[in-house]
Amino acid sequence: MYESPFKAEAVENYAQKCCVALVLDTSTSMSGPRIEQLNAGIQSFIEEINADQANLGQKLEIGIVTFDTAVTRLSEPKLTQSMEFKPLTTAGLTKMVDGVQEGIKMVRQRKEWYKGTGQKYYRPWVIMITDGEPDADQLGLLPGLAAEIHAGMANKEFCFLAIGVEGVNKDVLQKLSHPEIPPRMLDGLKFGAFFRWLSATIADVAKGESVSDAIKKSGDQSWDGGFKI
Amino acid sequence: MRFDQSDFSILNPWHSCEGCKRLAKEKLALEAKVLELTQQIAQLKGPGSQALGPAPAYPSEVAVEVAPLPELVGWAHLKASVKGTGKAELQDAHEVLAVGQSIVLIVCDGAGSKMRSKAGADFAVKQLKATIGEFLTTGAPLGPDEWQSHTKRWLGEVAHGLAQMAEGEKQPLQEYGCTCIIVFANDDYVACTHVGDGRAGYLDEASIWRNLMVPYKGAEANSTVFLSMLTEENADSYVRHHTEPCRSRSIVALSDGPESVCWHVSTLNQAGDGLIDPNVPSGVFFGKIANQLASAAVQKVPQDKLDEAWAKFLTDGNPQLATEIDDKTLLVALRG
Repeated sequence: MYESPFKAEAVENYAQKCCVALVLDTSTSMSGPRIEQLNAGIQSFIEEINADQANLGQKLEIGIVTFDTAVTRLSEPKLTQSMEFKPLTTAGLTKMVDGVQEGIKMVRQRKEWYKGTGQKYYRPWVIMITDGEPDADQLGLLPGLAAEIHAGMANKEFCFLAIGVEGVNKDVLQKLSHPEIPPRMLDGLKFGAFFRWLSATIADVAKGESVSDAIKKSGDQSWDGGFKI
Repeated sequence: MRFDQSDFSILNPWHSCEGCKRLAKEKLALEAKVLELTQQIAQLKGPGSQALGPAPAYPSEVAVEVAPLPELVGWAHLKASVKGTGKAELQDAHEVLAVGQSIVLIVCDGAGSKMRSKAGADFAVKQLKATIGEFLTTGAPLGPDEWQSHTKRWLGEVAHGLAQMAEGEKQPLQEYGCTCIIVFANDDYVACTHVGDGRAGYLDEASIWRNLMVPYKGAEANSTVFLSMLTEENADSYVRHHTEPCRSRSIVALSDGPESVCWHVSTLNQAGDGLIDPNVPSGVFFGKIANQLASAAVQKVPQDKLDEAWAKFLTDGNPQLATEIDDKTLLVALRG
């Protein structure tokens, strides 16, 4: 059999970017093992991306928004190798609507920046993780947020994924989510397995897999606790 | 009037109170304005105002030595089109034609979203190969002065054929959309005519790889023009030509799928403060491939074995090729 003589490494080009906004609940209910496991999961997510053979580390830009009594942009979108992740701490209430809106704003601004600097980009992601429900003064704003998310998904402006931790108000997650990416429940505190799955899913979407297929098929889904109302 | 966050937290666009509705509307308008101004400020500050992250430097010119080939070998070549990881079916097509001292590379890339674009691409490469082959074998002159008018006419004939195909199959013409690149070399010059995107290049007499075309990029990402859009009115705008007087030893043509693997397409600009598409073939990449092809040609490896090995390389020859979502066509021709 003829052995192929062709070998050549790829040229180094600036990689097409994918912005991921992690919108994380840091209210008091997330205290203790929950926030510890979430911190550990994010840390291994960053390490996994950096070690990815298919150059994911040059494609993914991660931003972090936290919401409790206030909404904080903890980290602007950047490549994981430039991230200095400081463990999250918990306090206060649950400004969920404001938090998600800040995440959407973050990916919109990053898209504008990609366009302004002539960069190609993949559809960005907004990923919310919560164990609660919005504060009472935010409940009235939920329909508007749901409409914004549904329009953003329908227009392929961004992907929105809602992850619930035990104790979450599932109705809220259901209403916010678009049918293409239904909400999911975390089995116990398997944040590590969830972030490994997330890394594989985003990589598959970046390779051309449809979002709905990648969500269902990609990676190890052992973190999924099943979503039933 | 000034508001703080607590003022807005009570506003609800679905509240029946007219005052709340008006204020909520004003709030949305103000937020949109703030976002717009933020973006304008970021653009005015330029890309340097936010870290681009690690970006490769603007490519420098590198002369690469390519091993000699015996005159008897004539033109050696590599050709393959392989499906991208994100595609249900291959939509690229290609042909290679060598006549005497002349060689022609043809690449067509079917529009991803169009149902019959593969049929359009197949038709285009076959018709162009037949037309150009017939022209060259008659011995009619095809100098650099005639190149533009002939290739423009040939592409017009292909566009007409696509329209007839669409009519025969009762499908909209745009379903047959595909880009097209024709690259030519003989002892006197190299030339390229193209519609749409992709890349083409040649090895100059100083052994430096240079581009032969600037891909047509529309206003939106991933938008370009296709043969199916070609009319007499827009042909001068959509059909682009370039010729270089030189005896080149190597020419290349490719669809946009493998371009980020073998071409400098996104690097810092020369000032180092923004991104640019330098449109430079990688001397390192093509130097290696040309030398590997030269070695295989000297060993007289049959063309079908070469093409098979080349298709394997384009499929998974390095991690970037293995994960490329788009179809990959890359044609390389080399002579002594």
